[in-house]
Amino acid sequence: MMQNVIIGQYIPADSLIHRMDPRSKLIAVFIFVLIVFLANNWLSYSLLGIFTIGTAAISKVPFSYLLKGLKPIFWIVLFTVILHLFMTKEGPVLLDLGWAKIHEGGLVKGVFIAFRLFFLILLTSLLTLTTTPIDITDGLENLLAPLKRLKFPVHEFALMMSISLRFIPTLMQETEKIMKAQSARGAEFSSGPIQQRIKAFVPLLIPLFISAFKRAEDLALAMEARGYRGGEGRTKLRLLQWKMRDSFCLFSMGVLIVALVIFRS
Amino acid sequence: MFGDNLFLALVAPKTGAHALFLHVKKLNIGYGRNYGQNNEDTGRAMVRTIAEKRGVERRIAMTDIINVTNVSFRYEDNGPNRLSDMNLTIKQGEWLAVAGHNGSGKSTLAKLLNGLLIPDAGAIEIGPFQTSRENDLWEIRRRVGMVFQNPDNQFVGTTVKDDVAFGLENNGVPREEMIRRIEESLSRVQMLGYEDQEPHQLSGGQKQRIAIAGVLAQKPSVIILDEATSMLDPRGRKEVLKTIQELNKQDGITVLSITHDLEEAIQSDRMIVMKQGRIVQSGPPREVFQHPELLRDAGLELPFALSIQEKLKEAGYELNVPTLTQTELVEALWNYRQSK
Ligand SMILES: Nc1ncnc2c1ncn2[C@@H]1O[C@H](COP(=O)(O)OP(=O)(O)O)[C@@H](O)[C@H]1O
Ligand SMILES: [Mg+2]
Repeated sequence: MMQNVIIGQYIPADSLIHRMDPRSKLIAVFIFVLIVFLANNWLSYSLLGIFTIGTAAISKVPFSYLLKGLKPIFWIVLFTVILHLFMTKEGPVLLDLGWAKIHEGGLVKGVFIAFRLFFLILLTSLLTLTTTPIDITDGLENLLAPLKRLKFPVHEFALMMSISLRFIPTLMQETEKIMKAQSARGAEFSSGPIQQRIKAFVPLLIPLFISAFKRAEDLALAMEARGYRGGEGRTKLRLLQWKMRDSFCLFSMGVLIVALVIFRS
Repeated sequence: MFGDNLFLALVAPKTGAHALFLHVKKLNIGYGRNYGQNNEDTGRAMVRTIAEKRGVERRIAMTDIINVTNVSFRYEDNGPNRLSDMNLTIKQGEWLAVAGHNGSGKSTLAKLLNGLLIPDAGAIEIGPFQTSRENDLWEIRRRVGMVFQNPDNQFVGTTVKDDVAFGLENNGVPREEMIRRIEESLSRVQMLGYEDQEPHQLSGGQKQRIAIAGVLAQKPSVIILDEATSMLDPRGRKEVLKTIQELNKQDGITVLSITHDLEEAIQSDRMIVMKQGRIVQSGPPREVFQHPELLRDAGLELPFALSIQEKLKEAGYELNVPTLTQTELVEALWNYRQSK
């Protein structure tokens, strides 16, 4: 079970994208999500395409992993494309089916939307594929720090995320153990009618919940015993380092914005 | 307040200066996180070496490190006292074992010692600090480190080095110093090279040693182990015990180990037995074991060698020395046979 669970989806590799500061990656992805909507003609979409595929190539993440990330949205893309195909009534009619007409504008819009979703998913999954969850947490904590003034519990939020990340494998191991124990007593998790399988999960979840609460209590005590008293005045071992490449990353995002504004019609 | 003290210092130089000194000392602890560079004051200079029966050179200082005076504690307002009028003094460098059946108040005592709980009556002093003073609390928690029973439930960090760093981060230790101390304490528990491992890749014994490293990094005076070896396999138990022994002998760190395992308690300098929130017996383990009936009365299971000896006695074979380990038992049996 442990083998086929990847926490987050991080693929270790040594690439420029991997080495970048999580903050610059987060900012870049955020900007990208916004400017994708600037593209509105073939030229601007090609530009986005070159940018996305170029980034993917630099990241050295195997192509198969990127495809895996795209798989879940395939049906959504198909659905939106079909919707646009029939609903948009612009330009000359390409095909007359009698009960519906497909316009050229519909086809173009459908394809554009498909590409837009495709680019968005590709770039956001590149973020999680090249950054460990804990780095993303650190980056978020740092970027959201100004919100502390608005009383938003940024530190607590980040701590909560990192503790969850820490305990996911532990809870997995525990689930596996309980599952084996229940299987040994005749519970069926992987075969039989669906209703019974769902029922079999109840005696799995209850001990898991009870132990999770016990863990939470123990952990809180251990943290207090080690002098935890909130984020105020705390120092950090994990270091975020903003390098030349990070500034360059943001610079290229700027260039991309300008280019998009020029090329869009 | 500050001004008042200055005024006092002018009028009555002696008391005023003293009050000012105290005030400054308090400031030092209350504000800014004081991260324990000044723990050399804890009396290690005054160490007295005692050559023990076992022939091991042990360092027990004259200074008291922990003073528990007339402490009572209850969890609920109208509930029963879980600790009743307890008195206990622990010397710097001493290894104290605490035994007692489930619910006798051992963990409650441990939590009181580093300020996780505050006594309802009486006082607990750690050197010059008192757990009932809020300003002292952080310094006390740094000085009195705790290792709990469940290896998983006290591992906070996502990796080994993050976990060891946790306490240091809490106390505001600068990063460079942190890195130095992490390396130092990992090497003390023989876990160098594991910095980037995640907890689920470690054995129970390794996790407990990481917990000890996390405590060590804070430069503590006392380590409290609350049944820290009870969930480990024999090998893990041995590793952890060996680590603790080294820390006690080489670094003079005071150890308070709560344990069900009387064989473990035998290795201590002194042992107390608790029952219903009171200390019912106290002394060197060998003396405590002279009264097996009292141990049994406190709900404890006797060590194997001792229970065999008792059975032999019932059957009419009296070995005249108490045997605590199997080796000693074999030896005694051998001597017994030869003397007949
Ligand atoms: N948080 C709590 N609230 C109420 N009662 C508690 C709490 N923790 C422990 N107790 C009670 O206090 C007594 C002593 O507990 P504890 O110190 O944990 O014993 P030990 O560690 O020796 O097994 C027990 O009877 C226990 O039920
Ligand atoms: Mg206990």
